[in-house]
Amino acid sequence: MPKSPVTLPLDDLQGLVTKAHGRRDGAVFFLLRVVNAERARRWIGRLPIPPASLRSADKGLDSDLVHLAISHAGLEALKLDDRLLSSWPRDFTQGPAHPDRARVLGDDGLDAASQWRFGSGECIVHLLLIAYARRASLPEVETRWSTEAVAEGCELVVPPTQTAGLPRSKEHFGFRDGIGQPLIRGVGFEGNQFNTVPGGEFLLGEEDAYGEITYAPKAQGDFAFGRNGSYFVLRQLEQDVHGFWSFLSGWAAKHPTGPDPIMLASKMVGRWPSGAPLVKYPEVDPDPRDALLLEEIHGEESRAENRRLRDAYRDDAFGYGQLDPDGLKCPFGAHIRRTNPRDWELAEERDESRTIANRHRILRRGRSYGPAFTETMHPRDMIERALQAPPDGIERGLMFCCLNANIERQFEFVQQQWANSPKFAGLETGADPLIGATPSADSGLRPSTFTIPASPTRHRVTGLPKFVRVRGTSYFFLPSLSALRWIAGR
Amino acid sequence: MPNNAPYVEHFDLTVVAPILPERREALGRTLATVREQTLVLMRARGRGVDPGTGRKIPFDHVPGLHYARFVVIAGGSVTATTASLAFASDFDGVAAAGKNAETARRHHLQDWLRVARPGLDAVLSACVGYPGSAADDLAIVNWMEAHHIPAATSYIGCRGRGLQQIEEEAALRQRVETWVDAHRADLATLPPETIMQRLRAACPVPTSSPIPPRFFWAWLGFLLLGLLFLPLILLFVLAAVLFLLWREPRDPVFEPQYTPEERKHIDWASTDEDLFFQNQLTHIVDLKPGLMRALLIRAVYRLLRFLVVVKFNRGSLGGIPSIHFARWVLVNRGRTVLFFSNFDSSWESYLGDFVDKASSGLTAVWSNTVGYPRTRMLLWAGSNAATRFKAWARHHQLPTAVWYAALPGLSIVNVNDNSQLRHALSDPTVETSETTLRRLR
Repeated sequence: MPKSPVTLPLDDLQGLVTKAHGRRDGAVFFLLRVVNAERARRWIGRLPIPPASLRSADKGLDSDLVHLAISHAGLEALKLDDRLLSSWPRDFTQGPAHPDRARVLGDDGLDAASQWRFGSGECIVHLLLIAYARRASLPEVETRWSTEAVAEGCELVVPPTQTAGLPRSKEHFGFRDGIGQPLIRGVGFEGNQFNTVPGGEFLLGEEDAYGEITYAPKAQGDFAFGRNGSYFVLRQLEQDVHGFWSFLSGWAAKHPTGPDPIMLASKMVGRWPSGAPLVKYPEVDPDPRDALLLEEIHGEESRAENRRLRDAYRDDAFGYGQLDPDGLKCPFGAHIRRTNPRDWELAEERDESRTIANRHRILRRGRSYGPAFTETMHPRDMIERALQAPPDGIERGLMFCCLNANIERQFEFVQQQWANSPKFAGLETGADPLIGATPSADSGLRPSTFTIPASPTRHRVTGLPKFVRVRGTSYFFLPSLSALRWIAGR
Repeated sequence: MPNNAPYVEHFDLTVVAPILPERREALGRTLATVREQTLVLMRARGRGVDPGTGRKIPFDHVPGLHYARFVVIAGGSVTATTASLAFASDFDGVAAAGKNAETARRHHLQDWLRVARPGLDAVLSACVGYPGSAADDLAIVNWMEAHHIPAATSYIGCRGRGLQQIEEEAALRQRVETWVDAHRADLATLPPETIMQRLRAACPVPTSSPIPPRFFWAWLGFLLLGLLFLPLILLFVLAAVLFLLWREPRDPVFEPQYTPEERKHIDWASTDEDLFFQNQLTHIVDLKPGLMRALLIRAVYRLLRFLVVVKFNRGSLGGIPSIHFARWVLVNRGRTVLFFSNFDSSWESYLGDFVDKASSGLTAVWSNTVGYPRTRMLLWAGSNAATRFKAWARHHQLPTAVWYAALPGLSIVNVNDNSQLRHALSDPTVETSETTLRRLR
């Protein structure tokens, strides 16, 4: 990545803003409630949180890294001052379980806040502590930090969740994840101009994509508490991997002229299992490790060629406007096309569309939990297992995490307007086939479908079950390091 | 499906009348009941089940009624001391009325009284001078006519198409999609023309062409009129430019407020948001003081009135592809702008579209109102200050006590796309078979 000047105060940012700590392939999520405000405040000040400027943070892999985020209820529980408590935006103050936010998020039925494990009612979360470590040391990390949190004035809302990376950076359905992240301007390196957004999109008190300074709440004595902090959304998403692959296989068997199950799944995602984008590789997964016709590709190409094909997922500087205006390669309803429409759909001019799309970006920091469905995570094996064995009853899913500076304009907008809306891109009943909410019958919307533009006319998947269930959501604030020290000094 | 779909003219009704102070509380209770019943009605219609009877105001029985609302104009940022009630609707004009708004409105009011007289009496009797339940229908119609305020500009996303046609076209879309689902395997190897032939045989549609024509003559007329008054217009523009150069940097600007009071106001103003796919907005804000602002906003409305007919007549208002019906009404003896909108999807996305797409046109309207973010030469900046603009819009929003939408699950893009599909099915010469087949979702 090309170098560029550092304009953001990296030594004041929690390192999680600029790094996903990918080399630590495990993490433990502790959802805490504060029972002793004074102890908890002191503890917060002592936590070994790495700043974004610490380049070596990723090196000493034997030590664990922690990050801490605080919900609005948490700021109250820590007994911080009234000025600070009353000056947050409405989305963060209400929290995701509030009925107004629930309607925005489409959390209804099985996804309803009343069904959550955390984030609502008795299970309101005050603090989120994430400890990043190598997967081998997770049990020990869990015990150590649980003991410490309890000793320092907190209690666990729910048992800690251990997450461990799946083979080849995949998520549970079998697709490479974490691609296509925006880059922040001012952290020392940049991506292409279309994928680099101003610091204010993720940090309070910085200039945002409209050229305005993002609002940062202040505490008594005019302390700029919000500055250099970011809103952190945690959403636990349970994934029905068995249901996913059996449904797609069943559909493909009944529709012999339609796409095969792997192609169908890829059409829903917008990428192949290897992460290669459909708009660039419309026919077949270029990565020999995921390609269906393994023997046709493997061995015939040179080593360099193989490496290029394996890394096709990195090929991310694409748009839809020119390559695929009719959705024949990547359907309009595909997950990645709708959660970041890039140069298409949002305006007539491609550059204008990119500008608008970049006003609704999020930085994802999610981690998968639960064991891999198959050891290889090859879709072919996953289908085989789904067809031959009954569901194993083991929960799998994603601790979805994202950073943004305006929850309503970024995270909620993407969920509501792009993922949930059945009308996205002129569709009629086409919510996101993976994470879209099921429209309630009351709303006048018909059940969701998934349309695959094709010649001579589209295929359409009807009767789509829900493959993803929301098990909990909390809105946190990820304070700057100086704000954490300020808390400790109260 | 009827034989043809006549071009339907749409009209609006905006009755605004002061509320008798002693009736204010009772009115609140009546409206709360009507709101509950209307939510039940809309949900039942959404599910496609019989909504039952016994509603005070059976909105669904009023012929050609697209949208209706009751708003109590008081509280929030409203400065007037006497509260008023606004009763508004968007409806299809009867053929006999042609383009005559008053005839269409009187007909529409008769429809209301026929299906909802007791309910309307219960609500409107809280207003000063309402003739009351003993009066005959004509007296009521005359009273409503007397309190109707013509819109300064109204925008219509489904020009030319009546409610019945919109519903039929939505049903047609469903028939077509279902037919293709059932036959997709047999179609795989057929040429597009053959597929379309089969589709036309399976889903016959009588001819129709209600897509609004482009108004070349209107453009020409407008230009000629413009030429005729060119000296006057130039003089006005010059005066306006000088005025704006002096005034714009000095007008006070609204500051976003992150306070418990403001959050409470937004909770109140946004009641019932996101219950349906469509949403609505009631927004009210005073004009900036002075004659020049009053003239400027009227000039902008005059221009917009022309543009919504000749240019923004295909479901997109200055790039905003999500508005079904919207209108601006000057109330309070012309000193306050009341804005009603019925739009698709979320408030955040709707207001975001104002920022991203329709800045100049809408800035031209609202920059003449109090507190609007700083503009340049009326048209520029302003809503570009996204956070400030949205906070300003929320600050001047009022809750809509009762809102009725006939088809709250349809987007305006769907409505217009369905019309295109029907048009193409009825007439093979409209577009190629490939194009039509691409319209299927």
